[in-house]
Amino acid sequence: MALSDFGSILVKRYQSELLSILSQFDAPMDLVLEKELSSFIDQISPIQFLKSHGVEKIFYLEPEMNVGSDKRVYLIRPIGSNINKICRHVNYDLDQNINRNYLIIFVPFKTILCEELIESYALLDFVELHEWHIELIPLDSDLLSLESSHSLKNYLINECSSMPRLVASTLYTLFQVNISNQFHLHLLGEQADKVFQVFNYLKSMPLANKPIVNRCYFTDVILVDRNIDLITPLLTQISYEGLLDDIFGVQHGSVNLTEKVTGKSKPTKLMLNSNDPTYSQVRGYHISFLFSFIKDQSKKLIYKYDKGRKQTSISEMKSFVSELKTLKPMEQSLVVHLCACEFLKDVRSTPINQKLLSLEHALLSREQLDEKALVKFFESLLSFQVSWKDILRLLCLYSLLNPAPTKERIKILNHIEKQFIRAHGCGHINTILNLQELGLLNPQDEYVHMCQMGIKKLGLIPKVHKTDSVDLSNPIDTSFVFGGAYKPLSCTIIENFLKQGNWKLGSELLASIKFRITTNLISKSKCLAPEKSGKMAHKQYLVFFLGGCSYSEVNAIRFLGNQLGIEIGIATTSILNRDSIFQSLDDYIV
Amino acid sequence: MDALSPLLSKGASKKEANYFNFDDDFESKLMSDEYQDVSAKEFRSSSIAHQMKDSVFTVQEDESGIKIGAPIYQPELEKIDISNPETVKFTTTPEKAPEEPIPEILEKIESAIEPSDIIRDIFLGKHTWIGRFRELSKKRELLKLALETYDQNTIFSVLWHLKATLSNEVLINTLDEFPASKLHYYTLLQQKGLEEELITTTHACKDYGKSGLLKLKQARRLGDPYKQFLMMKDCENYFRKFGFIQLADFVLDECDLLDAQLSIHTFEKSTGMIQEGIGSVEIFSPVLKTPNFTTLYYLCLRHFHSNTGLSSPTNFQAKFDISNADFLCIALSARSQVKDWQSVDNLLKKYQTKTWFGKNNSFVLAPEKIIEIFHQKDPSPWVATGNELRDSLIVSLLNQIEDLEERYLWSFNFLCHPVVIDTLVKLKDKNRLENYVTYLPRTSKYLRQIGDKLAAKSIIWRDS
Repeated sequence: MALSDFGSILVKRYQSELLSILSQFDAPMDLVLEKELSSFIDQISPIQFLKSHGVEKIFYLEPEMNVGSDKRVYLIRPIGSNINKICRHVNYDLDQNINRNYLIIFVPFKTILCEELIESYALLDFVELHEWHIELIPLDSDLLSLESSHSLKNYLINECSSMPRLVASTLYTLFQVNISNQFHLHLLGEQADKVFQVFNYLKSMPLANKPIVNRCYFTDVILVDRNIDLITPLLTQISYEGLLDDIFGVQHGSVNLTEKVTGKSKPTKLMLNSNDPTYSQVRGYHISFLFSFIKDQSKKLIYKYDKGRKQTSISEMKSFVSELKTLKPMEQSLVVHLCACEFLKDVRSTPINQKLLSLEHALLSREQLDEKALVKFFESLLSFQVSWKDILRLLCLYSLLNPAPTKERIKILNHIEKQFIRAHGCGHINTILNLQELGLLNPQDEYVHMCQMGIKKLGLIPKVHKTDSVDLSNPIDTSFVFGGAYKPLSCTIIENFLKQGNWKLGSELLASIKFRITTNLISKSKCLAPEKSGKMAHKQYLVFFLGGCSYSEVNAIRFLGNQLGIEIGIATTSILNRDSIFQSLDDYIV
Repeated sequence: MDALSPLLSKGASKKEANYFNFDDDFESKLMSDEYQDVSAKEFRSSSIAHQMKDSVFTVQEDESGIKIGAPIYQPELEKIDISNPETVKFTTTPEKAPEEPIPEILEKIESAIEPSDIIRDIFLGKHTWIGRFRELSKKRELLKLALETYDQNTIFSVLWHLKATLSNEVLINTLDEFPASKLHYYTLLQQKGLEEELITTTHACKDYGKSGLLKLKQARRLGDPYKQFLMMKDCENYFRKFGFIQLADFVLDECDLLDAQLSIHTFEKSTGMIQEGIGSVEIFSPVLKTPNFTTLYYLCLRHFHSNTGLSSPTNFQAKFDISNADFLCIALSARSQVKDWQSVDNLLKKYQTKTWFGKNNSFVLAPEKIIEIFHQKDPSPWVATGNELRDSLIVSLLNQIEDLEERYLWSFNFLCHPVVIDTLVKLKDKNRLENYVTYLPRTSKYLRQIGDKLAAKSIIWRDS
């Protein structure tokens, strides 16, 4: 079974799980939804679906709520502030002698802290607690995501996160549904090892197996720890889908285009997946190709309309009318993508963005830059009050990629950090410390050494890297995702494995940051003899990014799959863009 | 049944089981299919097991150590010398079976439930009772096992139990023993909103950097800037004491800045720029608690012509060692915001003088940057505002931009016709010059100028 079918099966499973929870209440009932979950839930159970199953009204979770029917269902993430709001609602109702039933559904699971909080309000008698175990959700035909970005900081810095458990249980589900009796699990990095430990723990437990009718097939699962490649998510993406994420922020596979972009009276929600024929063709393109593509498509559309108008016979008219069904959405889709493209182009071509991009590419080229000019440039960015995320991003790239001696880099970094605090305030101290801890702002860190080594050994920076000289419409390697300037490290390690059949180069590289790569054969039953390679119809890979991946990496993996003629599915804990790491590491001191 | 079978096989016969004061039908329940697969922990949490527990005795811990308490149904509490094991005897309801070795069996049942069972139950989200393990060794084992699950919820459950049952000193020692547990414990306290406790704990765990930052966070949240200043000074001393020099310097800079902002506040108050507060509520200047550059911008906006103390922008610049480039950039930004073109002109005359060599890189601020500032603050086209000084400044700055393409870009943004025409002629770009005609009004005198240039035979156009 293809990954796309598996995705839709998963959605059906989540829907039935939700229905079985909701069935405890007789219709009608109110649904109170955490705002941050709305687009996520919409992906799985659209409003129409919920309404057809007893949900009468849908509200967002607010501190005050005095309306609604006598049955109320809360759908929330296990966060203390959510519980506080709910307890406030219940207490208000109790004070007003309003008799109401409450059901709290935690996504994806409840926590002891939330339970204790409800207990401390003495409300456990009044509310019923449930869990809705949503794991992977399909964002596209070959892309599944856990969509759990909120714990990225804990994942990267504190190592205090539920990510290994969440991924392990997802992996366990995949293990159960895999048609193949065994598969190879490749672990890249420390967090991947942790996931494997938890996976084994789960496997050792006598868990109740859920009846699974539909199955999927894969022979190799590659778990990639985000910590092995922190450069890629720092770079500006140049593909259409990457730019959409960098500039608008893609949420759960869709993007909200404002009135300013579309010129319409209200915002437009644009679903970004293969169901949109225009998007499926242009998503990986450089934005400069998009206009010519849209122009061609428009011409084709006009031709079809003209042809339709010239029809005279009834049968021809009939066929044209039936064809109109597909032409209209196509036309609308082209218009929306054209508007989005225009806006993206305008944003990209502002002088400041051009300068930031040129500095980024200069840093990637690893040419010896004039340090004085560089410092001046950073100072001017600071006095111009350019976004703090952009400044820190470029500073991190400077620390990671610049071939200047360490001492010199430390001196410059210290100076700019000081200037940064002056411009953006003392509140960002924690952010800088977090980045230093991660090795991004500390040239002495072993991670920087690994990056420099990776650039040399894996040839991450192609010698000819100027955008003009790279044929972006017909790429030859994964560097096309960054205009020929850089090959994503994680994808290059995987590419190396797929081509060589071993992890030798990757292992050597990761050993420098005390990470390792291991491969484990996972069998459903110990009695089973290992399957012979000849028995396997074909290889099917699943690359699972722990800690998230960017659309550029998704694009690069798709390219590898096409180039090598292998089926590769992609799973991730979340989708990252160039601001994600900074947003998660920003611990602003109020 | 797995947990009970060894008990029964080691002499704990069906007859003995009756001594537990079970329900009459306990045995049949135990042997029924319903209980065939019951695990030890499920058994322990079942109602039968609860009855069993209540009927026997309790083991309690107090300050002096362990003492064995009386059964819940037993009114008399016997004094036991725990130092002499022989004197320790267990009692149960006498009329049932006074001399039977019940506790031994019970101990076996208890021991059948291992910390790993509890951890597994928490991990799977099942109801369980973590409080059954009172020995420190068991608690350590719980923590070790919880950490191995990498599950925040499981780890938090154990840590919360440890926090509730161990003294601070022992808890810190235990956390020290498992370094990975520290970060989880900090996160737990943070999520529980126990900030004070978090500061104490991080300090006790010798994480002075974290502790100092938490204190700093507390300080910056204070509404009263005077109190904030004092608390931040404490933070600075704290960082310095524990060797965090870079952090101490950052905080020192912040203290100095706050001090300067307080003196600006006092000045504004004395000059009536800030209203008097009502009663004890003081109205503070909006400049308080802003970063250096924002403060300077504020001063350039509101106190540009002041010469008094730190409310003067130049004095502020000197005090905080702000470079001329930064100062000029901020001052120009502020003055063009309020359209004070005279001050802008003065600033440019003061700072933007060329050296003998007359090269642009000798400027404090590149002309294109100044133009960019102007465009940010007031993007209206050239001559549209009617301010001659602004227009002449724009023309002169545009002419100073060395890169012709950039000069064209900015002059086009401002629709500054003379510079656009001149630059395109210098670039010898006939096409763009022809296209520019569409941007000119019909009555514009520049139309003729463009026509003249296009017709001039002396110009060799690039395209031709």
